Amino acid sequence: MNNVFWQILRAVLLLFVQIVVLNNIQLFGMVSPFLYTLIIITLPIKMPRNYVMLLGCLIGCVMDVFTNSYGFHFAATVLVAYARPFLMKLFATRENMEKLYPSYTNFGNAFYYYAFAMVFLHHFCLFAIEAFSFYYIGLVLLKTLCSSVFTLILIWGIETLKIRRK
Amino acid sequence: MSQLFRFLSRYNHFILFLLLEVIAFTLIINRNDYQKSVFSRINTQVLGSVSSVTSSVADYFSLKSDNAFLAEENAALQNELLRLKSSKNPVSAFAQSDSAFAFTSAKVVYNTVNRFQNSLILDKGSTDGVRPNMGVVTPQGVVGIVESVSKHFCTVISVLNIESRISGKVKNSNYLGSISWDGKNTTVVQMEEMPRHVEIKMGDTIVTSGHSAIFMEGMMIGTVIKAEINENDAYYKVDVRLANRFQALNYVTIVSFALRDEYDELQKTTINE
Repeated sequence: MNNVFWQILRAVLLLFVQIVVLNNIQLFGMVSPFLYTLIIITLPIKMPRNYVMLLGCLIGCVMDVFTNSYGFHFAATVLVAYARPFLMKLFATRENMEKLYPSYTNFGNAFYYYAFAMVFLHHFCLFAIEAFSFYYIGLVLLKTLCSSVFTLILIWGIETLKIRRK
Repeated sequence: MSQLFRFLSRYNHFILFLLLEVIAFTLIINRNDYQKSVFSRINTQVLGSVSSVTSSVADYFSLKSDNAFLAEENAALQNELLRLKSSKNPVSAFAQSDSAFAFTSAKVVYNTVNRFQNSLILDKGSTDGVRPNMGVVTPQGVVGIVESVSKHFCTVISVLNIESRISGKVKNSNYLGSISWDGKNTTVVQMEEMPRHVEIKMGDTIVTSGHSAIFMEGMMIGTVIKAEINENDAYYKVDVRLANRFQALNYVTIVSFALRDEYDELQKTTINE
């Protein structure tokens, strides 16, 4: 029960940081990180997929409300929620999958690969919907790459802090 | 039913995913102006290309009726053209009495080319005003002459008939000759009675003379491909390549001459005397 409480608190905190701070970041017109993807990334491994998707839908809706867009974050977050098990199986070993949460301590370096894949997919979906045309595909990919790398750096920072605290 | 439930439970993740994404994209397309405009543009494009494909397929089914319609229209336009011509130039109308000719389109329902006496059957008969001795042409050239008429059909003596005689002339010099067929080559007819003093050479155009009051003057018959004369002969041997392809006749036009009876009457009295 305690665990669930911390999870919720963490999710709210991440959303808060995303909305208040990170939404205002626009580096070189290329980098706009969406750290809130980390909520989906670090949900319990055994959590039923439908719950993950519904949660993703909720988080996406919240983000849409605060960024004044309709359905962008909704679509992207539901997509990564659906794709989560595939990507996890792709990078994590069977041993890793027995653990409770995906994290650096549980997965090792595989966690960053998995996190990057999730973030990349999410950002790509988001920017692609924003552009909504194959004409901008090059720009979309570049923007996705820059923003994903930046988001991954943030995730790496958070994971490192967690380990230090322990 | 149980299979359906098994299917649903097996793919429940995917179904939920699809459902949520459909909701998301409905929102995206309906509520964001830019995405809405892009979507409607693509939609129009797709719809347009799909309907153009389906209509191009559907067009084939109406080809037959379209053809018939076009043939009818052609005949009507030819009539109109003649009427206009004659009203514009009353002198020539009087001289050639072109306005006395009328056109009816008809479909070839039977056609032979491989006999000595070739004939055609057309789908127009006495109810359509077709009568014997009317001319039959296509835009390319002369086909033949109506021989006998039933209520809804008529038979046509083709140019490719050894009995057939059509009055023709060389287009530029206006020398008259008689067109007949020797029964050998279905693309070549012979022109007889061309006297020795006439200058005729390969490539000359042969047209109808208009003297028999069956065809109008100047309808294409063919082009000269051979003109020979021996020292003792009085007449040329002229081969004419037909402008029409008789193997591939489909729609033809029947030419009717309104003053036919008057003409025949006059001719009869002259011969009797």
